[in-house]
Amino acid sequence: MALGAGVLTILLILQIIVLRELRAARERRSQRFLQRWRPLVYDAMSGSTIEWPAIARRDTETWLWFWNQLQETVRGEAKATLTHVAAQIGVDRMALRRLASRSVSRRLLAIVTLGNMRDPKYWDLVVPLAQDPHAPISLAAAQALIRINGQRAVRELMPLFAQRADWPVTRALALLEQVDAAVVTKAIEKALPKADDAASLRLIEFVGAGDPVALQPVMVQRLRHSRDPQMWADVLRHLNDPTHLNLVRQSCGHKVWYVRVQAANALGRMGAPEDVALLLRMLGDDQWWVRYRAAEALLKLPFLQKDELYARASEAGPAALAVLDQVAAREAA
Amino acid sequence: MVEFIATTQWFFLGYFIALQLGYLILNLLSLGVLRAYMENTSVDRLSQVFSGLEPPVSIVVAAYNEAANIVGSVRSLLQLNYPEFEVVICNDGSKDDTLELLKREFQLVEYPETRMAAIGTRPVRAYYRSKTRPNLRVIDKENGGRADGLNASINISQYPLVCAIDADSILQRDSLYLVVQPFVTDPHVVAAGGTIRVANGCQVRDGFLVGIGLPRNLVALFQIVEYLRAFLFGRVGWNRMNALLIISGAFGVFRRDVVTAAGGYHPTTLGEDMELTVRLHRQLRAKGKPYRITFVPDPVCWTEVPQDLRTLGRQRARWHRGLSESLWWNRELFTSGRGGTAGWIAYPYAVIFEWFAPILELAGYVFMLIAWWFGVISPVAFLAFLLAAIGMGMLVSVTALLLEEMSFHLYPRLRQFWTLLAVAVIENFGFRQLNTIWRLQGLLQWVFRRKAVWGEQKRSGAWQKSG
Repeated sequence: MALGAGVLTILLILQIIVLRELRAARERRSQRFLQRWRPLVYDAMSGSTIEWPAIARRDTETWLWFWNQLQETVRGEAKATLTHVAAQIGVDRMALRRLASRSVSRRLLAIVTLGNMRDPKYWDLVVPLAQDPHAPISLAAAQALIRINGQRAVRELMPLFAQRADWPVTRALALLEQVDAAVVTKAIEKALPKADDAASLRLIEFVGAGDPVALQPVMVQRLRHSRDPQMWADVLRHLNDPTHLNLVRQSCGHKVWYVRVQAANALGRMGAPEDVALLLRMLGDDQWWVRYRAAEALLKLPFLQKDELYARASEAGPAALAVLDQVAAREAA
Repeated sequence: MVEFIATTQWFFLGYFIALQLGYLILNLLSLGVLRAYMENTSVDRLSQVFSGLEPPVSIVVAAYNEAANIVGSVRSLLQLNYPEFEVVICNDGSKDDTLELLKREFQLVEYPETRMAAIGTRPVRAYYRSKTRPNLRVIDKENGGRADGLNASINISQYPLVCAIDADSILQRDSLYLVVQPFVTDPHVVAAGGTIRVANGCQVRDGFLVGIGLPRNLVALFQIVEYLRAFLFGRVGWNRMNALLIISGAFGVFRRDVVTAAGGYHPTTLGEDMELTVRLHRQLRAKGKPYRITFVPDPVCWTEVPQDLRTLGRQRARWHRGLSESLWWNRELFTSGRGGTAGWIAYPYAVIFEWFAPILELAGYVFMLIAWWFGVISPVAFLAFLLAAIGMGMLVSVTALLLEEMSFHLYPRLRQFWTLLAVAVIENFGFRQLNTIWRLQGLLQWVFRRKAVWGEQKRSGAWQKSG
């Protein structure tokens, strides 16, 4: 056993040395490659005609990383030039070869590359990948499709955005924000009425990438068929149309505290003079956050002077005044 | 008598082998996890895009006598690259100028706090808000210890996630972003930690790490290998089974509502980080709610470690005492029968191979030495025992170096590799045994209920002066 441990230790040390040497050799080669190619690419981007040298197979990884990193940093015409360079060099062939790789990282790089090529001819190749059960692959494919044709991607993939619970909302939203808000709005408008509660919750999270004002009617309509408090809170978060004030007022008495919080926030955005009494009552809510947001809302109302507010709040008791003082102190700081 | 010695020698040999085999199994688990993690996140470095929906975070810090570092620490926290966060510092009854420095530097003004404290703490004297930094608040309270200070900060945190860090932790600008990812991808995650690395020998500018190096100090070097073992395969391996029993106090993110419902950090334990984590497992398992306590393998936090044996010994004794408290107070995790992998695998493992390990290891060495000395066991048997105990320890340390090589490769220079390799070998000839003695001290202190003392770590604070 001890001997075995000793032999294994030596083998591991050798393995580490080999790994380090291989990595160091790869990095040296990569540096030499980039030293040669960086000036060529920059010259091409400034308009020169370049006679491109061949890229050895073992340099394609370096090249793909370099090209994709440049794509992330440049804008406008420079992007188009880079894509033209890539087409001349055959970047798409390199990416297509990697698409069939068993290595997840190689496939991811291939998908990102095809997305950055922005060529519709790769659409049919990438679309099935958006359905891949492995979330990093499917998300990368969704990103690539958005880069190839954002409008079409949102129209066709919105059901996926709604159903894929393994697509983190923050990542999905970041993708949707790359597309015109009007396109996202239309897609959500179409998907929301038919979506179940779980999918609806996700779609409402994406409203920020569209036009929240235009989407208010369809959100409110969807709400009428749901008792899910999270959905109520999420819809209230987006409401600022006074035609929905009655819905907001109803929500001020909801049994779930975070719905009442959003109701208080909504009244702060669009409340009418008759809502002051409601907000003052909320200053006595048993949940601190409801009291805090009600205080914020009251201090935000443009038609309510501070003196008047404090005079009316004093009738609600010292606790109400205390939370108003806290919010006022924060605003003053 | 001879039979007794023969049986006992096999017991100790078996124990050492089982201990190292356990490490190796964790290693194997970690290999797969790390490899998949590196593959899945490989293209993330191409761009980091915030959507605006990243969960906002309250960073909570308890500061006691941190006048030397506090301003620099807070400045660097306020520069973290994250869409929305606040910093809540609790001045835990400092006897130096910690509060005055904060007041002056950040133009603090007192404000009325109306929120009822969900977690009981020592009395708060005042709450302050910064006039120049809207996302900074400071609490001034009577001294109650780190746990108490963190609880006071959690009480007034306004965001759904709280990130507890040490006042001298050195973060990277994307630390928060990395450690919040599990909460974004999995709604069941209630706590997440990241890898803590050793800052000694590194270059720091404006409170952020700008260069990674190795210290010259041997004590610090030993701890680098130790931390690699503990984080790269210890935590990664347990994470695979949702059986992680500790989120490091140097840097950990929790759901505020879950921590508050659990009662916050325990104010009297010396291992408040582990105790909270084990308690969360116990309570959530008892409730039958699906949850995950997880770990991000990325190095997210760097900390200065002790460079002298005396300070290190006190730290290790304190940690073991904290471990003892955490396991004893939360023994229901094992006894209830509803503990899942945390209760059925991680807890007994921790009891046998960590909690009682100092007794068994030390007894093993002493027993075998005495038995050999009196000729009861042959020199060959004694040598076999030593080779097993020490040899397998070396194997485990070298495996940690392999994992580091395959994953983050933070020490690229050849000289660094040979230094770490030498340390991975040498540490088995005295340092690990010394650790065992310190841990035994901690265990005895817990058994005999000796009053807990933190002591003071001699901090060089050199990182604050660089740049």
